[in-house]
Amino acid sequence: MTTTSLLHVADLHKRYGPGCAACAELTGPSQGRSQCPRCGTVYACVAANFSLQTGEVLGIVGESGSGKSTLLQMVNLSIAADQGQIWYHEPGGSAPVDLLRMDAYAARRFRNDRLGIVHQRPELGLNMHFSVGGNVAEKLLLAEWRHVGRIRGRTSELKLQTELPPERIDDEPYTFSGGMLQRVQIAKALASRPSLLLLDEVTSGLDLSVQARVLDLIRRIQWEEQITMLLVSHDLGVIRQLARRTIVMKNGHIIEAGLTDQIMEDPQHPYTQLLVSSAL
Amino acid sequence: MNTTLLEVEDVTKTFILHLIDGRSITPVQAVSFRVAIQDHLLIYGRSGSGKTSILKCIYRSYLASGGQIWFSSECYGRIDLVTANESSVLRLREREMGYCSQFLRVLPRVSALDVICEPLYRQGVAREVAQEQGRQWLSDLGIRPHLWQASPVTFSGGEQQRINLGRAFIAAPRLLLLDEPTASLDGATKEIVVRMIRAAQANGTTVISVSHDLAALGPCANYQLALA
Ligand SMILES: Nc1ncnc2c1ncn2[C@@H]1O[C@H](COP(=O)(O)OP(=O)(O)OP(=O)(O)O)[C@@H](O)[C@H]1O
Ligand SMILES: [Mg+2]
Ligand SMILES: [Zn+2]
Repeated sequence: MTTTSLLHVADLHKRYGPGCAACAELTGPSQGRSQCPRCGTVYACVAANFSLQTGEVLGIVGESGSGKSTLLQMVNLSIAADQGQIWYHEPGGSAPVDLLRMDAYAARRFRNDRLGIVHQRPELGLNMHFSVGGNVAEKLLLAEWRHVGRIRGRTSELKLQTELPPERIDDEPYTFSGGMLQRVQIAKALASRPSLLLLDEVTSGLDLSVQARVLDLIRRIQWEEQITMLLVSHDLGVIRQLARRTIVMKNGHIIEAGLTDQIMEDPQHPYTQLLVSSAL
Repeated sequence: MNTTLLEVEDVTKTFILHLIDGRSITPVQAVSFRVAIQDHLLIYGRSGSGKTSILKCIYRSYLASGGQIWFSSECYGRIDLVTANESSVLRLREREMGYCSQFLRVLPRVSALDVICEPLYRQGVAREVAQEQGRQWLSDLGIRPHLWQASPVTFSGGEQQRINLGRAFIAAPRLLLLDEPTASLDGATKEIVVRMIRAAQANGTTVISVSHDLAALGPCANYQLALA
């Protein structure tokens, strides 16, 4: 096969709690819960497996609490996985590396330089008291950009690319509207030209028209940069617009994966059928 | 000399409707046929006889429940579309296999020109080159220029259908799947579509169309398959 995987996630697990002998039987999609009623342990993500090709947008859908964000945060190296591997293969690079086996310094470097993340809640991604430029510069400094001129240049490029109004550039984000905040987050996430962009419910909670413009922006960036994206959303409409392959999660498990049109038109799992029929 | 492009062997499609007490329906039951390179196969039958389902199984929007669909790919050799992995199917859709659905489904806020050009963009054709071709197709399809920058969401049914067709033809796929290509078109536009199908065939494309419009499509198909 000529296509190369940028990322290969293998058997990834995350639970909160001690676990007990009954957990396996009492949790999961067939039980309709991710929390063990016996010991209270929450199985946020169980045995996740998937690959991401270079340049591809992969959608992750599922109901609230199904583990989408946990999975994304593990890839972002901001939540420690209990078990599993995340193989990363830099395009044109040598052998794949397991991100979970890197030392702390290498992991931090990797996250700052190769990854970009956009959160549903802007305050998680932005320093609300830095200007737009300040936020972008912060990401670049973390990615070890040292040259002030280059940082300035990159910041101006990003402002144009994300269509941030020039007259608001020096303002602090807490004065911005929701749609603007997402643009600033996107600018910051893209700053170091990452090879993987992680998007967690980036349009949820926005007005429809604002949502549409943010989606247009993401789509345009994907076209222009051919950047690989992992896109979490509970909104099938958003997934359909952006992702050609989709993963469906329920109670911490990936219950179905396939081409997005197949997931929408011929869903196999009862839960996916429910999800699709409720969306139409 | 083997000029077979597609062999559908014993394909069955069953839907299990989990939301309606697990009831199952089988619109496609053990269907087999072959299509040679540059043929045009017309599949017809009453509404609900599984015509669209067969096309969707070939394009893999549906997962066939049984049987094999062998495609002679330039890129992968002989490959079973029922079990091929998703990246291969995506690549085949990009390079070798086109599908024109019965109804246009486009992204809002994208211009007709971009909708038509998208398959070329995906192949990595330069924007300018793609748009040049796109304008040609739009004009051949009789879409008035003042509509080119508008989103097809607001177009009439017939205009949408033409955009849909243009999008399928523009990439000159080796296999073109057409679902009711002449529905919602007037006589003159049907003529245009029939001419487009003939021209594509002459250029090496193999066509499978599904329709009950035998009057329009019958004359340009080399083979017909009736579904019960
Ligand atoms: N730090 C934590 N401690 C305990 N449980 C947690 C923790 N973080 C997440 N969980 C639980 O793990 C499960 C998965 O949560 P997660 O945030 O990944 O869901 P999600 O799919 O992103 O949901 P949403 O659509 O609401 O954002 C939930 O039951 C959640 O309550
Ligand atoms: Mg979440
Ligand atoms: Zn337990």
